[in-house]
Amino acid sequence: MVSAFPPPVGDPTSGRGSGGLPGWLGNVRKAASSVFEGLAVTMSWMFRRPMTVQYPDKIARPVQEVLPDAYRGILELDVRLCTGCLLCEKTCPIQCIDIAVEKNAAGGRDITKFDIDISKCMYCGLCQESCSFGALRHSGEFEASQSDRANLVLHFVTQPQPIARYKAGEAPPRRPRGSILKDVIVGYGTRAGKVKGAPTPPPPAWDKPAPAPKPEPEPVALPQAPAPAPAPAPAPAPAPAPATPPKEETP
Amino acid sequence: MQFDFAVVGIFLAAAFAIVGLALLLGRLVRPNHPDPVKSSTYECGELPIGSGWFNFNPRFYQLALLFLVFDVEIALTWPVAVVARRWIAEGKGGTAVVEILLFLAILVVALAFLWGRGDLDWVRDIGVLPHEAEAPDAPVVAAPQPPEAP
Amino acid sequence: MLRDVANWIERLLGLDPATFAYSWITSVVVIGVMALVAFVFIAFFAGPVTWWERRLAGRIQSRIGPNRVGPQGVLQWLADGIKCFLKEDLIPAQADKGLYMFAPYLVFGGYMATFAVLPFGANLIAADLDVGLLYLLAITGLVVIGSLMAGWSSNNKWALFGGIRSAAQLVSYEIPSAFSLMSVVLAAGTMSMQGIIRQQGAWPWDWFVFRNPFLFLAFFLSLTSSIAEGNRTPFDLPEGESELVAGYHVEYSGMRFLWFMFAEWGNLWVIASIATVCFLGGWQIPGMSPAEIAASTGLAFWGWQALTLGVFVAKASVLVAFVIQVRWTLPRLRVDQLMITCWKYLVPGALFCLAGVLVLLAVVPENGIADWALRGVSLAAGLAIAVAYVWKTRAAYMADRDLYRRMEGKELWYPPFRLP
Ligand code: SF4
Ligand code: SF4
Repeated sequence: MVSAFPPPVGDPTSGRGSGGLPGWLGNVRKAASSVFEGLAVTMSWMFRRPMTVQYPDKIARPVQEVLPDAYRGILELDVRLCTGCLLCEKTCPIQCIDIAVEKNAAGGRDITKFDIDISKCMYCGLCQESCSFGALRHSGEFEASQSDRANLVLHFVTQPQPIARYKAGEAPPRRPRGSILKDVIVGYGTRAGKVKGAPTPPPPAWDKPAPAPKPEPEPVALPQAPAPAPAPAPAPAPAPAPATPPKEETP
Repeated sequence: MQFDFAVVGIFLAAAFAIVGLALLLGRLVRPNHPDPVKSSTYECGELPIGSGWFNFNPRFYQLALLFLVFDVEIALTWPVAVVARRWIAEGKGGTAVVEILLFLAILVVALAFLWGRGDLDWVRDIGVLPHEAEAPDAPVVAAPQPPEAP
Repeated sequence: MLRDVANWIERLLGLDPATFAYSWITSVVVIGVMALVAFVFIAFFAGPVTWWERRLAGRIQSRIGPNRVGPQGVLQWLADGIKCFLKEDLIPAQADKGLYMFAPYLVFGGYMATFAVLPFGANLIAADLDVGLLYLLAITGLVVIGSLMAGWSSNNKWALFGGIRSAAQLVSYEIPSAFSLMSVVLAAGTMSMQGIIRQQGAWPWDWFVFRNPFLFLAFFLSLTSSIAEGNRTPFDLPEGESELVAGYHVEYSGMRFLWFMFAEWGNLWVIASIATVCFLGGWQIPGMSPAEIAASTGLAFWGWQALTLGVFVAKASVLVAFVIQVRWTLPRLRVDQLMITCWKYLVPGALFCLAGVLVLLAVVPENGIADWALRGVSLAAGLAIAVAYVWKTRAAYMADRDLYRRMEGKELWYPPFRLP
């Protein structure tokens, strides 16, 4: 005869088969003592320092600085290095990069559009790997909440940019990691709370004539011989610093 | 007394009124865009299969019966419990104690009977269900054998 | 109390309360205002207590808890409430509309009606019914019907299971709850809430918990079964989110959902105040008998009321914190364990306590040596538990203190009053 459920003989919870009254009393004792011990443990946590730190008000340093270099945050494009090869656009599995390249009057080519839809992007890093020029890469930035969905499409190019032509080793210095997005993300830095006690982070080094100390050294991306001096950058972006600041790196 | 029960009635009425009022006021401000998917029954994102009104486990009925027996007993014992103290003060303590203990004894016997029969167990042998019978000519429902010897 | 207020208002209007024909109108108005006051209390209890619970849960789980809305997040409940108020009210197309819409009324009504008999201070009670405790047990039946109604009418399998589980659980745990409260009724000789409090005293040895060992046991049984009746973890099977999504209110949204939550969190107060009234001496203050308080007049009268209110709220708050802590300590029971706990452990235990209290009542004369010995034994047991609790807590803390200091370079000590 097939039984739907095995008979619960000797089930410690039912008190059956576990020795009548002694078993019953034993269960009561076990229940009471385990509840008691559990309550004591949870009570002891009321006196322990919480592991969680209140973000973003009471963190010692901005999280962006603490993140590891390989952290894949929001993508950023240094347009001075981009050659318009469209490799990244083709690599992206979900087509969230949208690039347009047009011929210009001078016979060269212009990038007229470089949009990345970060609401679609899954931070897989494939585009970063396919970019042989180090133009596109992940920053450590992650705070990008927006009240309008349209703002989640980052426009890295707002007016036609002539495409850079440079020899290997003569590339313009790449802007430091995380310094580009502040112009691209709408309302950058207005939503995150202020870090109490911590000084406001200095402006990016490439903006300043003198090298400013930065807490985190930039890793060199490619093991090439560093260019002795920055090559003339075709981009209208801020003029390169007279001396190569320690933060800058050459692809 | 009348006044006190009026308080209870008015409290109930006030609770109903407050709930109704809040829902009514909310109707003015909340959106209302029903669509077929939204107003379908929630089944973790899947399309609902069948209706939610099906036969559920008879154990719940047994529990309800059990409760009924005990609750009637409680309703009968409670008034005795109120006067027991006065009786004891008046020297009729023996009567009160014997009466209540007798009542409790009946309850305890009932509880012990149900316990022994296995009616208090949630998981128990319910015999062979029709669709579990091995051969089509096997007995459809097993004899109502209690799972353990009493 | 309320009647006095009504009479006072009538006299203020130049009417004679004894002959005024429409005195029911003033009564209804006064009671209605009282009901509103009770509702405001519920709102201002049930709301902030959700924040409090989440903060305590945060500390227990080594995190912070809600801290963004208002200073330290105290206004979180308001934000939640407004959000629920503005949310769309979804009614499933398949549901039984009438019952579906009516269920929150029953749940909240059954809950709010309990406030009619809950005392807050020496004379602060809406209606001191002489069947107070029985009424409390009976009126919670409305909540059972409401949740069963919600579960059934949603036409949802999760909801149905939640509803019938809820009914089975509430109904089962009413038995041990009634029996353990019956021991109190036996000891007090009355069912009126104020009467039960007046039978106790201000000092712990006069409380019913420490009257004798059986009542001491009954306190824990009663607290356990009230927690189960309030659908709180570890007895929250009707809404076990890991198995039933949300239980009987799975289809509810917005304001309609909020009423269920209201009743659930407000229930904490009901649990705590029943235990306070029946076992912990209610609002009694040392050195002032209830008769003296009632006899005082004018400002002194209201001063005493405020003081008793403070005492009552303090005791109940400690219990509320305890119930919250239990919730964040124990894992949820399985459904078979739930039923076994009730029928095989709590019910026999409560019957045992009842019989014990009865026999002691008949055998041990009040205020005799034996009576004081019993009080001493129970008080010693209570003290022993408290000391052991502090000791265990300290041991659990000390076990990690040095390790933490070595690993983090910081002190582990972080008392609860230090806000993160
Ligand atoms: S990280 Fe991945 S998903 Fe995002 S843009 Fe690059 S390739 Fe596309
Ligand atoms: S970002 Fe890199 S891969 Fe993409 S178009 Fe520019 S150079 Fe090519």
